Amino acid sequence: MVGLSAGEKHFIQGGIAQDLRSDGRKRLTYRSIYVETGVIPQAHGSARVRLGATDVIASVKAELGRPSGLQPDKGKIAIFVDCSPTAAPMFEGRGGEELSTELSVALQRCLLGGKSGAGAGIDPASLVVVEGKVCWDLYIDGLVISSDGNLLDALAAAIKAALSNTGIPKVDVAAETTGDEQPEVNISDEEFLQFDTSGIPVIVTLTKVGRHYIVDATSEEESQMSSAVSISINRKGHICGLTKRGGAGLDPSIILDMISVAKHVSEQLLNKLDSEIAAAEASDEES
Amino acid sequence: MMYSDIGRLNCNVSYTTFSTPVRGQGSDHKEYSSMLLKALEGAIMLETFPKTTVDVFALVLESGGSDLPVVISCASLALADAGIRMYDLVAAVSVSCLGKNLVIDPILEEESYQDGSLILTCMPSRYEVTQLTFTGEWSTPDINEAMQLCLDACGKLGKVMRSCLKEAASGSQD
Repeated sequence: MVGLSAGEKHFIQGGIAQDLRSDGRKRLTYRSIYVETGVIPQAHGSARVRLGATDVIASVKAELGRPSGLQPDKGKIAIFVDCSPTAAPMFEGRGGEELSTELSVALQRCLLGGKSGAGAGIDPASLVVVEGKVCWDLYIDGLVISSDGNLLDALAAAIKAALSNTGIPKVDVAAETTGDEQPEVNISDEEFLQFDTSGIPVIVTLTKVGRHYIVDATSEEESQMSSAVSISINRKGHICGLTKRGGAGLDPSIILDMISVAKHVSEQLLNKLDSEIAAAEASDEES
Repeated sequence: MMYSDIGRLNCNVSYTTFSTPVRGQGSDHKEYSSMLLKALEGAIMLETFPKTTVDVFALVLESGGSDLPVVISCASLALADAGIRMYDLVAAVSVSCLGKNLVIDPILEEESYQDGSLILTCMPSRYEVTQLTFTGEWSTPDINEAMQLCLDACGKLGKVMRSCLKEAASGSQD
């Protein structure tokens, strides 16, 4: 927990009401985003995103597996988040578990779409190698290294960057097999397939402090929030998921207003993020 | 446990092993406990019982779709029955999007084929949303329609819950 005196609390709240926050930002301005890709050589794709003092790493690993019996034409995607004890003392031991589950669930909800796979950022059908028999299982792991608020937005950005950095090895199915036999597959270590990441949404969290709401709250500002709404929005401006945090109730009209503000903010964030990812990819290839 | 000058709320949602079509599948819903907590904490007057914890335990006996909304509405009724001070009852409703159609209070089969879903919990008399989640892809007109549908349903559900509490109270007096 952030320990703030009454004066500091008042200063933060007053600044937000006057559209000038303690670090000089306006209510709807993000901190500068810094993206680095290919940070973990062992993974198929990885990225590190820094948003002010918030620092997260996302890695993508792919393994061959069997599709589930209910959905034979779809691969599986799993998202896990781990909060490192280095990020905050309260994450020590099992302290970070609750937050980790909350973040994982929110990311799954925002990135993986509905149960039928509609609206997912990554098409699970593109992960199938042989229908009903072989598919890629995608494991996306997020790690929070340093926490200064707005973890969800940073993690979503890191996952988007990691996926655009991901190359899935090309698989050749050796021979036709009949019946229930598992087909033999040959994994190429030279040819890689890239994902289309243009459909992956970004998450914009609007934190309500007093009567106003702000984007990209620092942990000091988050300690003053009454409630927060995280909205994931894709390029088309469609909502792909929404989660509410914080206990206080909101009027339905405020939520609709927040959605339209988030849409506006997400356009800028997507453009900024895409250019950062492209720059990171370019410098990654050079080195 | 640390001293706290407001009350604490502790929620736990669990499934029986025989509640789901495949045995033991209920453990997939780890997040339900925290979602129940978030839906309820905005409605309870926590400052009225400092240094105290209120435990809410929910056990799903049979899962037939729309589990979480039912758990939330049920828990808020139980809290009211226990005499915990609340601003208002909490009513919860979910809507599934199947193709272009919106279905309210989906059953398990509908949920497994849904393209998107929305869970809305609100305090009907205060007209305040305490918890809201979306999954799947939604356009703005769809969101408006689905939210209005949920809010209307929550209003109706709230009336039913209220009359049910009144009945129970008058029944126990006799």
